Amino acid sequence: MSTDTATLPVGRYAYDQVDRTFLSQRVAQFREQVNRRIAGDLSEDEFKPLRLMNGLYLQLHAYMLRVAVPYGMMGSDQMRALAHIARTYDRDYGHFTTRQNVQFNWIRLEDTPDILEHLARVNMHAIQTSGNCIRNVTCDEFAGAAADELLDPRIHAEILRQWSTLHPEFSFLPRKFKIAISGSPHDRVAARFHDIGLVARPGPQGRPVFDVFVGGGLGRTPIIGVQLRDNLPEEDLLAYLEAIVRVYNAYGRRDNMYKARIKILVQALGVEQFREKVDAEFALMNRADYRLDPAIVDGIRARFGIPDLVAPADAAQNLAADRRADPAFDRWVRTNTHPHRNDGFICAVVSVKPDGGIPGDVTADQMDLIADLADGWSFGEIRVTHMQNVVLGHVRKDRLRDLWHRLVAAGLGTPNIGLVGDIIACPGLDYCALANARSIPIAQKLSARFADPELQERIGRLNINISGCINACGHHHAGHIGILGVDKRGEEFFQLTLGGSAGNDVAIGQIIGPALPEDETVDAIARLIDTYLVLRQGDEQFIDTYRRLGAASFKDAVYAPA
Amino acid sequence: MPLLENGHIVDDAWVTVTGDDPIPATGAVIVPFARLEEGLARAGDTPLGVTIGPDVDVALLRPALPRLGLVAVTFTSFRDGRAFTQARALREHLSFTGEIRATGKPLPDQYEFMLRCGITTVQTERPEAVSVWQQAHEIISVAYQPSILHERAQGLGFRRFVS
Amino acid sequence: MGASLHVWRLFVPVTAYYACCLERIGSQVDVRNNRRDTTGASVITANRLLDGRTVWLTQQGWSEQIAHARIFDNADVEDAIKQAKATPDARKLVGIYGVQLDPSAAGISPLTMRERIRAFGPSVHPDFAPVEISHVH
Repeated sequence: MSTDTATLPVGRYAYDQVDRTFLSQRVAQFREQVNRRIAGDLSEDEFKPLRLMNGLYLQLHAYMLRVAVPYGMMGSDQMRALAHIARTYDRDYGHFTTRQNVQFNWIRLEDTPDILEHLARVNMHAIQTSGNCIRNVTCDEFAGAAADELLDPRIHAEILRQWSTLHPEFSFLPRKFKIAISGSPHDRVAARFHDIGLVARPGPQGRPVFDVFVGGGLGRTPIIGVQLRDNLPEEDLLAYLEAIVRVYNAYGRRDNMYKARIKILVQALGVEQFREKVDAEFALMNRADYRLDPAIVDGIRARFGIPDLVAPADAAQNLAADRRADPAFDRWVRTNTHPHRNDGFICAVVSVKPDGGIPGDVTADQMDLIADLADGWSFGEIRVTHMQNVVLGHVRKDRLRDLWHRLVAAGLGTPNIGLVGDIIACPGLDYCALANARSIPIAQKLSARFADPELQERIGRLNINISGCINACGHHHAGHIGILGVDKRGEEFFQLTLGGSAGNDVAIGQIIGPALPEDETVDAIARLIDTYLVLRQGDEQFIDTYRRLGAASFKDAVYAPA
Repeated sequence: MPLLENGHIVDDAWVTVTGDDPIPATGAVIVPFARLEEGLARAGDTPLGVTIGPDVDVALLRPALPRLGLVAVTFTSFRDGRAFTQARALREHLSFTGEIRATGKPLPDQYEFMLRCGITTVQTERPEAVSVWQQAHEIISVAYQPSILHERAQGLGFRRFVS
Repeated sequence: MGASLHVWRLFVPVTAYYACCLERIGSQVDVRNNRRDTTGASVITANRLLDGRTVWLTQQGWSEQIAHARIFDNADVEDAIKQAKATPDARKLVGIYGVQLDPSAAGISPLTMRERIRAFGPSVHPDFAPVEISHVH
């Protein structure tokens, strides 16, 4: 085992031969399904759920393939495979999503089995990145690295990934089902905006316990999840989740897709009655069959590579000196890093949001560069964040400045993490068949307008989230400023919401007034931000000022005559 | 398509009664859920089965279950996955050991899921050849969660060999 | 064109070549694709099954260039859609529907932003505007 450990991928589960066999069988199965579709044996309506379970959508211009990045973790070899796919089968770029996955926008159906085969060579797939099944489990982007973390949630994220993979009972649910897991008291996964949100912490005898939130979500009906259970013992984790999803599968609505998510069921039954049903199912289950034995957990944990965190004693001092020597670097460290549990290390956030750029889009060359930088600076480990950025989780402090120089040279060093330029935007009407309006141009105009890093820092923490339709892939309800694209007789309008938040201070943004035409939206937001700068007290952040004063103080600014 | 069991065509020993058709006095008969009482009232021990829609709580079958040799679950559409939960509950909660038959319009691609939830036979309205169903049954040999079939564990986690 | 002049209506999607497809096609097509004025002109569009690319019905076959599209009076477009769905080519296409044109535009241009983007490519990547590669194969 110890000789094997040296080759295990850092931060994620190492496939063995059985897992690889499964993936190749799954690719063969999809190849067969594609052949049946092309031969006309499957109608589009029959094929659709099958292709969706392999992440393949038909969008406005082409097929889109969403590749799973389980709990946001990937290795440099996998990133290079994505770069290869971008070059060979797409148009030299990919897009990081808010579910920590990667999408390609110009895919051909007939190429897809070959693409999946290529992905399988690096133990990647597109399984359950779409469809009415349990989707890619998301996780804290600083998992296993953050100074504030109590417990590394990735082991259990992997257990949930495996458990949900081609689950025989839960592959045709009423609607999609999203699970997030965190091991930090600071919620970075929006646990209460998920169908199930899990917050793990150490319990008795060193085994984890879980707080279970259920029925949260964004979309057409934004709802904050309720706590269904606290201190769930680790050994009951799968049994309890089975019970929740069984109740949902049996009772969730199937007559109206807009009312089919579990949040609607929880609201309809009321949390008490929903809990009764789950508890009844849980009590009936043969729990021995589902018991998550510590030995199982430890077996999975042993397949995770561990970074060898050795830094010179003066690493932190060196970083401090580097920061004093270079104000631009100092600014980037302030905005784009996160404290690491090891004092010699730091987490670096690579901004995929250049000023005026398309949030989350990376070129094939940038993917290769990120892979190289991960190899050189972070044990080959790469994390995709729900903010559509990239994290290198374990960077030695004395080597951070070298990393920054390389990022800046590649256009990946924008110092805007958590600031106005760090905009979440769905692909919107430029690509998406569901969208009503374009998200990306609004993001581009805003980030160009607020490009000045000094201004951004002065404005402070401000999340602008843009969705091109009510399905809320851009998490607009959870943005401090949310922007929702709506269609009025074929033209684009944008509705603003204020006060949303996805963290511990979770809140749903409130609509401030009538939707604005496309050409007025960016100016209105600029006035809104100017108003905040006038109204803020001391170091207040936007969200604090909004909470203190309410929407009324901002409404005039938004609707002022141009 | 004819009746399918373990990826092969088998003879159907059951007669399915639909609508208001009279229930034969003898022989193995499947009745609609609404006429279960009528079926149970037949004389003797002649085999009885029942067809349930996806909205039926299988716990309602509990009193009748000792007399039932077959429960037919219904995929009104392949998208409606409730029959999976019904079948699994029949096996796991109600310890039903008789035949569970999938009817309606399930896809061959769902065959392995059906088997792992406790469905034993399939009578589908789908046009695919039996070979497509056989292939769906055999193409994947690994599963990642326990099932009512209690397949052989395969090393890590909840991995199972399915065959 | 004032919004009040629009008469938005739904028509039942019909497919002739494959009777059992009715319900399936019905769930496939976005409701937005069936909105149409009673007057005006439309073109017919779909996505190609094999590569997903947006195509437009022309006098002979399907083209990636909306400029080549055949223009129908709205009064005739429903029948034309039915006919298009009944041809053997339809098996190599997904989601055939009609697209209302903008009468005030220079050249052939859809009325809605969504269809303009389908016709001319993502606005954020002018370099990816559709170019003719091939007809249905």
